[in-house]
Formats: sequence, structure tokens, C-alpha cells
Amino acid sequence: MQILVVDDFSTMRRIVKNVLRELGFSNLKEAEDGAPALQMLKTTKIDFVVTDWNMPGMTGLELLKAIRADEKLKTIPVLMVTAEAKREQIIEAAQAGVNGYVVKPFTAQTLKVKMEKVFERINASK
Amino acid sequence: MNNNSTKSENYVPALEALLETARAGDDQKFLAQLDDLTSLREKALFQDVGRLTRQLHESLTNFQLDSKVANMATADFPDARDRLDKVIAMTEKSAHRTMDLVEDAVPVVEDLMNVSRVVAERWSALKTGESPDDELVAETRRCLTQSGEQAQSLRKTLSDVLIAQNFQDLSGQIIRDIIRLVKEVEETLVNMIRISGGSAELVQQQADARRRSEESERVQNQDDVDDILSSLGF
Repeated sequence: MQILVVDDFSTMRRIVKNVLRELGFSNLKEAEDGAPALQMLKTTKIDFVVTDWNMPGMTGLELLKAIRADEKLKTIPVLMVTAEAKREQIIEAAQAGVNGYVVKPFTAQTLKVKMEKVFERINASK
Repeated sequence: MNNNSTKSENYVPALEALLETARAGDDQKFLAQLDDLTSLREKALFQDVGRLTRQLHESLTNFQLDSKVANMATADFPDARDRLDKVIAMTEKSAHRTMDLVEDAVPVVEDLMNVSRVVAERWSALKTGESPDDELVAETRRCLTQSGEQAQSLRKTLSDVLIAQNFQDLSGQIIRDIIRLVKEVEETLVNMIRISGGSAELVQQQADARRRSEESERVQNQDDVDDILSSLGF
């Protein structure tokens, strides 16, 4: 399982990667913006995306929409990990097809639970 | 001058009365009326001077505001931006330093756990009354020495983690300065609204209302997010 972590802050990428490693995921890629993330998704086999929302170039929501609009990528699960905590934003992400939504600051436990939930639902729908 | 008090027609009734008194030859009344006429002129002059003074004062105040705003735009804002960049760099550096230290400490702790577990297991495996062989005693000694050294190295790591938090003081100061600048800008803008004839209170009320509605839209924690998502069928 290869996971792509997208966040414009290197510290946040590192924290997320550390938590993921703690959860047993060791195959991790990273990108600092939506655009390079999308590029990487098109050229590398990625099984799961953990993305921030607010990034200077392409936002996490735009990345999510681009993934869902791409025939080859659209089934990749996307977990949003973000400080954006407005009701309408959460609804927007849900409508765009997000698989999970974690607000910062988060705990390792929250991230673990949300990721497991995403996998559960994917397996149930298979 | 187009001020009402200085219009020549304002003087007509007084002049007519004065002329009448002069023709009638009433000197005393003439002088009194002449004095009234002069004071009428003086009053008008004072009003004009007052008005001009007020205008001058307002222009000066506006000019001060303008130069203050110009100073903010050319000096204070770029400076604030630079210093906020510094805060980002400082906090980022500290976060990485802390994570480096934690990542260094994790294998030390894991090693400590493993070695202690192995030795503890061997001691548990001894039968009642059985004495440990020389090898177990030597291994236990090694384990104790090693734990002591590792604990010492962890103590050093922890103290480095502590020191890595010293950015808070500096970044806090910078942010406090910038809050002060933002407050100053806010006051200047409110002043400008007042000068240009708007109601600063109304603008303030609208801003407060907007802020309140934005805050009410903002969810507080992960549970709120989960509630919204589950209401959408997640």
C-alpha cells in the first residue's frame, strides 16, 4: 500500500508520515501542493491520498475533484486532513467525494480510526 | 466670500436704520447703531476665521492620516511580512528539530525495551532456588550499564527538546507587535470612515455581525465534523 501525503508545510507532512508509519504504513510518498501531487498520481501507483485543503497552488479540494474526474484515478480513497473547519467546506468536500475528513489539530488515534473506517467502507463495497 | 453672514444684503436693514437716524439727527442713537453694525461685521469675520481654522485642522488631521497610511504601506507592512516569514521559519525549524530528536530517541527506547525484556525473560525462566549462571549475571550487568547510559542520553535528548521550544518567546513577541500594527490600521481605517462621513459604529457592527456568523459556521472539533458527515450519510 503506497500512500501519498500532500501538505504545503513540511512539518505537517512529517507528522502525518510519522503517524502513518506508527500505524504500520511504510511506503509513503509526499508532495507539497495539489499540482505535483496530481502529477505523481498519474505516474506512480498510489493507493491512498492524505491531503491538506489550503495550499497555495492547487488546493486539496481541487485535487480531490481532479482525482474524481480522472477515469484512472477516481477510485483512489482521499482523506482530507485540514484546519478548514467550516460547515459548508465539510459539505463541499463530502459532495466532491471525499472518503474521510480529519480536522487539525488531530491525534494519531483519530487518524488511525478514520483511515480504518475508509478501508472498512471500501472493503464493504467491494 | 459666500458665507451668509457676510452677504451685503444682510447689512441692508441695519444700514437703512442708520441712515434714518443720521437724517433725524439723533447722534447718540446713530453711534449706538454704528457700533452694532461694526460688531455685525466683526461677528462675520470671526465666523469666517473659525470656519477656516476648522478646515485647516481637518486638512492637517487628514494629512497626518495620509502620511501614517503611507508609512504603513511602505514600511510597516513589508516589515510585518518579513517578520511573519521569520516566525514561519522559526516555528518550522523548531518543529523539525523536535521531530529529529524524537525520531532519534525512539530507537533508543525500543532497544532499551528489548534488552530489558530479554534479560527479564531469562530471569523468569530460572527455576525456584536456581542460581543464575555467570553468563546471565554478565548479561544483566551489561543490561544495567547500558540502560543507565541510554537513560542519560534520553535525558539529554529531552532537554534538547525543551530548548527547541525557545522559538515561542521570540515568535510570540513578533506576533504581538503585528497585532499592535493591525490594531493601529484598524483605528486609522475607522478614523477615515468617520472623516469621510460614514458611521464607524455601523461599520463596526457589520464587521462584528459578519465575524459572529463566520464563527458560528466554524465547527469546534472532530465530533462536529463526524456529525455533519453522518448527517450526509457517511
